[in-house]
Amino acid sequence: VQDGTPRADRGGAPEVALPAGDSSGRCRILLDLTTAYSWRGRKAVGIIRTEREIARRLLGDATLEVLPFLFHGGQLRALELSFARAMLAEPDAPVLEPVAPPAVEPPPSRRARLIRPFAVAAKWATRHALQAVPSAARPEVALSLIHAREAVRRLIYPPVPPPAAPAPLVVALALPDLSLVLHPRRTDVIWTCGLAWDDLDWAPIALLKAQHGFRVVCLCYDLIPILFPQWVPSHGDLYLSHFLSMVDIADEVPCISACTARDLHDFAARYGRPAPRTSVVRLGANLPESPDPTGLPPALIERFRKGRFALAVGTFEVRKNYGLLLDVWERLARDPGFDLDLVLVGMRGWLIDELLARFEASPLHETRIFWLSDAGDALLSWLFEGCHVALYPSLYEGWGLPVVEALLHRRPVIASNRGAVPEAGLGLATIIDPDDFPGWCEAVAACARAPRVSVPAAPIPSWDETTADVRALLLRAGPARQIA
Amino acid sequence: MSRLLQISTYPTLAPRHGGQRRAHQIGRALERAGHEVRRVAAYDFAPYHGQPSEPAIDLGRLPPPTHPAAWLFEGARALAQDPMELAAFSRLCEPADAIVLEEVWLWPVVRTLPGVRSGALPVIYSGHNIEAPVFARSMRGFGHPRAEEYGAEVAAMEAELAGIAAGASAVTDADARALRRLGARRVVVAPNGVEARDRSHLAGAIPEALAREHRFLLFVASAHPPNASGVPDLFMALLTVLRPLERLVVAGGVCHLLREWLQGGPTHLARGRLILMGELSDFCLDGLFANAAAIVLPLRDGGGSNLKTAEALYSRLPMVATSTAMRGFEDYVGDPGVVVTDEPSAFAAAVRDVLDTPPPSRMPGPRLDRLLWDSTLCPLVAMVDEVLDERAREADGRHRLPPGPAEPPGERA
Repeated sequence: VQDGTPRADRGGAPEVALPAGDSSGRCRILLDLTTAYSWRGRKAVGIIRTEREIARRLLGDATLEVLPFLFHGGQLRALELSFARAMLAEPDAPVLEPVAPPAVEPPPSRRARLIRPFAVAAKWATRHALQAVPSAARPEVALSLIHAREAVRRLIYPPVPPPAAPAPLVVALALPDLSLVLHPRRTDVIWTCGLAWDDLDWAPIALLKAQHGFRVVCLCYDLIPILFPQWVPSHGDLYLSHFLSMVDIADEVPCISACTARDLHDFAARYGRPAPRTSVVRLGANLPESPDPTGLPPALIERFRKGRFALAVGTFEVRKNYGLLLDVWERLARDPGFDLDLVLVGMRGWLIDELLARFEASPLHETRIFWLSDAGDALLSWLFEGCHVALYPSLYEGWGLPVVEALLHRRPVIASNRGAVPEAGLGLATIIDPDDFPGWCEAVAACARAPRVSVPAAPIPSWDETTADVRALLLRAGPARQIA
Repeated sequence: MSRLLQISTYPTLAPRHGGQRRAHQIGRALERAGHEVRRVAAYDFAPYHGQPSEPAIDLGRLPPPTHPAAWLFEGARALAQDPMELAAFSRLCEPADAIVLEEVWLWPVVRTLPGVRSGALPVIYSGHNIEAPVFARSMRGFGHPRAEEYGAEVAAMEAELAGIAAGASAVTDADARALRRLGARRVVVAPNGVEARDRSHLAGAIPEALAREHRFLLFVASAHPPNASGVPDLFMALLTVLRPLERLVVAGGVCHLLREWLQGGPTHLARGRLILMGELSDFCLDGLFANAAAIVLPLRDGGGSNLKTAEALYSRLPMVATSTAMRGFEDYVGDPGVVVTDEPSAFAAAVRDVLDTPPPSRMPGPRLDRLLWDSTLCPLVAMVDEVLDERAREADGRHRLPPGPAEPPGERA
């Protein structure tokens, strides 16, 4: 019997060991870290953060048997636990090549290079001169000459200082040992929640699963590439292939919102598939670092410290609908009494050249509207703490993590009514249709006029709770789904 | 905190072969005991290319050995006879309270250090083996013309070192007796051990050379020549009992020696039965241990004790070994799943039996935990402490003023 009980409020089947397909019969979690590996040294976006946060906790759970792996060359390659832990512990650290401290062999100095020809000549002359010495006395003379040579050397060369103690070994983040091919067992369950459309080759997994009957649990964030292909860079049929494989092969597809679960069921129905088992797993919203504005220019720190800014967080892309916010600000800024700044936080996304040109051409750009494209967790947390209101006018979302993060900081939120955004609002956000431009103007203006307020505390899941839900799903008893 | 200088003939920071592992573990055990351990080495850099190293001298710059198997002996001797290299080595040796010398080979070098010459710096001999007889046999095996002379020279080195050392450690009781016979004063037995490694999660994680359907026997050994001493008879017998989906997987430097044998040997029998993996990472070895059906230790020769035997015992896998391989671990003969036999056909039959009817696993617990390095090296650490205490007392005695006449009673204010 596996240790641990599923949280009562989430329900779920009891955790029991699966029928023995190996000597132990114990369920082993095969942890896909392919995306985390390929994103080493880069700041985490939502999906990467999710993979890292859950993986770190599963690996740290001593009651679980967990084997991390990378998908590589059409095979599952086992990853050393120590490597995986080091990779997840400092995911943003620069990637380091392994460096072996050199054995002590100092390169010849410039002086040594200059003297060398003379030394060679002296050696040659001495050897010939030695031939003239009677053989009985030759060893003694040779030994005296060696001592003389050492004395001369000591005069010419400064003593070599003893080498420093070797530096501690650097964790070789760049080169994992991928020498072990992983053959899953019947009692295994694969957990994957990364950029599966990029990193996962479903065909060999299907074959292995058909042969050996392990389970696959794949987290689904959204079906936006299928529902709104115009908002994502064209990848041909990449996403269609991925989602078809997912509904065909995965035993369970937890979704990050009820909206995404509905979308997935609709997708399966549209393509004539039985829907896989789904459930809703809420993502954690706790930022891992304390608020800290370090990295922001001092003038901006001073400006934002007053708290007179609205914050919008999310990748700078069309779907986030930042164009609406630009329109709202250009309208409201005509009123001299409107003093709220707009701070956008998010990395540069795709298909935004036109939108970006509009922002840069606006007279409000960098006077009332600021875009921070490289903010870390600490700065983001500081901005959430300080903002007057958080805005989220997105045209569609599988969840709405920035909404939840704002609520976690007890900040008021004005958000769109599309996709899962209202769900993420937890009944506390002001929900407005993103097509309702006057409605947004009115809501932002009203908020700017009102004094700073805090919204009531809401039950927001932490990453620990998210991981507990995932753990319960992974250990849930049940046979693997047969692949048709 | 005492300063110890550990001297070895290989890099010890990221150990691969048995000698490296033992020296590495000794250094760590002494550090855990509160000593400051500085490491120095002299070895041929080429075979250890890319491995992290303590400060070291490259023996590869010296005249090449007359035979690859003689490089430790000849390289160290050449170093001792080259004043410039000797001076360079001496400069690497930082001041210390004692020297821990790993194996005998560098003794001709270490004996020239001023502190050792004067007797002020105690030397602790960390023996891995009684080298002379094994070395002579090995040289004879290779047809080296100076095998006897070299053997005698190594024997003399061992005797001199044993006589001078303030303490000595051996890996088996037999080696300890031999050291005492050579005149060693304070001898402890610190057997080879094993590092606890969690491998249970690696079921089904195997190198690409193996298929999921394969059952395999595992033999892990370094390129130390005695490790191939089971060639040809034990290996031939082993290969003949394997069925179509069974393999003998060999890992470690011993593969180089087996390749030599295979060049003119049973290539047809080996094809489809024998997989030579070569030197592997610890992680890859973990995968092999986690999935092997059994361990085999087909050794005919060798001194000291086999580090891989401790590993095999601790793995709890069934194992078939020769009595030579069990040297130092005789206490475990007869434990569940430990079969010891020397005769080739009996060895092969035992392997077949283990594959057909897997014996029960050895139970984890204190008996197996005694194989961990922390436990096996305790006597060595205690002996080092004792030597240092003794030296400290001697120094204290030298520096203390002789007692003066007792004060007459009543004269104290």
